[in-house]
This record gives sequence, structure tokens and C-alpha cells, in this order.
Amino acid sequence: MSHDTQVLLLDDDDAVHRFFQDAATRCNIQVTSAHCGREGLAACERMYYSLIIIATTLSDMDGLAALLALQKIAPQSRYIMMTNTPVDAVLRKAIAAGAAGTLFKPPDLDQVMAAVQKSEVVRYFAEALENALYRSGGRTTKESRKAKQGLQHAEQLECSDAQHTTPKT
Amino acid sequence: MNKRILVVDDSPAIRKLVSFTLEFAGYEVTMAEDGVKGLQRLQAEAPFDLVFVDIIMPNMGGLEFMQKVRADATHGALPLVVLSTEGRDEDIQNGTNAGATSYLVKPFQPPALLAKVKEIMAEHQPKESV
Repeated sequence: MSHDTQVLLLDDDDAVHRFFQDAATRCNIQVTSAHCGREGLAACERMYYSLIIIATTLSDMDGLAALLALQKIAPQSRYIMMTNTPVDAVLRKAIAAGAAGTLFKPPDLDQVMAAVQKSEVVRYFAEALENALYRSGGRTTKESRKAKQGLQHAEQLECSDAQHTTPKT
Repeated sequence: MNKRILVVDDSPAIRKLVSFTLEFAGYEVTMAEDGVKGLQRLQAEAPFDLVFVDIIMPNMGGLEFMQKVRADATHGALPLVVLSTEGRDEDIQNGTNAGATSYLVKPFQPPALLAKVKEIMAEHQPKESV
């Protein structure tokens, strides 16, 4: 059984897909490529992805429309928006709609890895919190407090602070 | 006393995510942003029970860091675990040749990371002497 993180990438830019597929040859990620919103929705119907990365502009719909449609199919997945510019109306609305973070083009392996790693750690703490509360019958315990604190810290972590001091491509 | 772990990685986000995971499990974590700082921390704040180290970092990368630790009379036996984006066979072989005790490829699954720490801690029971 693979322990790779399952990533779904929605982007109409072939260069971005090549970057992610190259990253997948060396890191513990499996990347499924979707070149438009429709392909992304179809892929998401077929299997679960822990992380879904969506370009703010797609050929058949904008990233916000894709996000909202995907969230209905896969509410447990975490979503990252990818954009060319920090000043992006679609990006702002997507973050407000629940996207967990942002990646900037061209993607950088450090930044991508930080975002993917964050999604894994957030999921771990969310499960730990759920398990702790289940075991205690919903009461707050030392264990649930620790898990909640870890979840908050991980969720608030800004992944765009990944420094690019050394090229890793 | 909690077991102490040094995390050497140039990505602030990765350092913090490793740290959150380890601290949740009860370990005490010290962080450094490159091999040079890692060696300084190791000398100044020993003893540590285990070190996580990235491979590609500015100033001093993980391979050189591990070679220097292995050559050090005081810290030479310290468990060194690589945590890297570079997971090809030759990368793992290079890490092993430089002295890695174990090699994990990013992104890590927190349960797998903690299991690896527990396994290595069990194998290296006595804390390194200062």
C-alpha cells in the first residue's frame, strides 16, 4: 500500500503539470493531472485526494467555481489555490470559501512541499482531536487540548514563508 | 526528562511542522536552519537523542553536516535521520554513505515519522555523553 500523499492538480498550464510530475518522481506524492475543471471534478468522483491544488483560472471555469463544486464532492480534502499574482479577486473569494492556502506560479518545490506537508500535519491533528474527543465522550482532556493546539498551530502556519535560498529543482 | 531532538532544515514551514508533530508526542525540539547552525546547536546545547536533517540547505548541506557529526568524537554515534525531498535511490545511497541512520522522504506522514523516532530511540537507548 502506498503511503504517498494523493494530490489532484487542476491547471491548464502544461509546464505546471510537468513540474508536479517531476516532483512526484522524487518525493512521496502521487499527482493526478486535470487540465480543466471538468476533468478535476471527474477525477474527484473516482477517488479521494488529501490535497487538491486549483489554478485560479481554468479553461472552462474559474478556480472559485471549481473549488465550490469540488468541496461538495470531497469536503474532507484540503484545498490550495494557485495564482500568478497575490492581487487576485478569485483567490480572495476562494480563501473566504475555505481554501487553506496559496501557491504562487511558477511553483517552487520548497513552497509546494511545505503546503503538502501542512495538509498532512493538519489532517493528523484533526484526527487526533477527533479520536481524543471520542474517547472522552466529548469532554475536553489534556490530550484533546494538545491536539487542538497542534491543529491550530498547523492551520495558522504560513507556507509561503518557505525560503528559496537554495534551488531544489 | 523528555527526549531531545534537533531539527535541521532550511524551510521554516517544514521545521515548524516537524516540531509540532514531535512536541505533540512529547519530545523536546530544537531547530536550526542549516548545517552550520545545526553543528553550533549540537555543540552548544547537547545532549540530543536524535537529529533530523534535510539534505539541500544553504551554507552547509545535510551530507556535509552528517559527515562532520560522524567524525566528531562526542557526537559521532548520534542517530541521524534524513528528511528530504530527494528520494531517488542514489540520493538515499548518498545519505547512507554520509552516515545517515535512516532516510525519510518528504512529505512525511506524522504517524510514520513518530514510529521511526520511537524505533530509533529504542535501538539507541543510552543518551550520548557530553
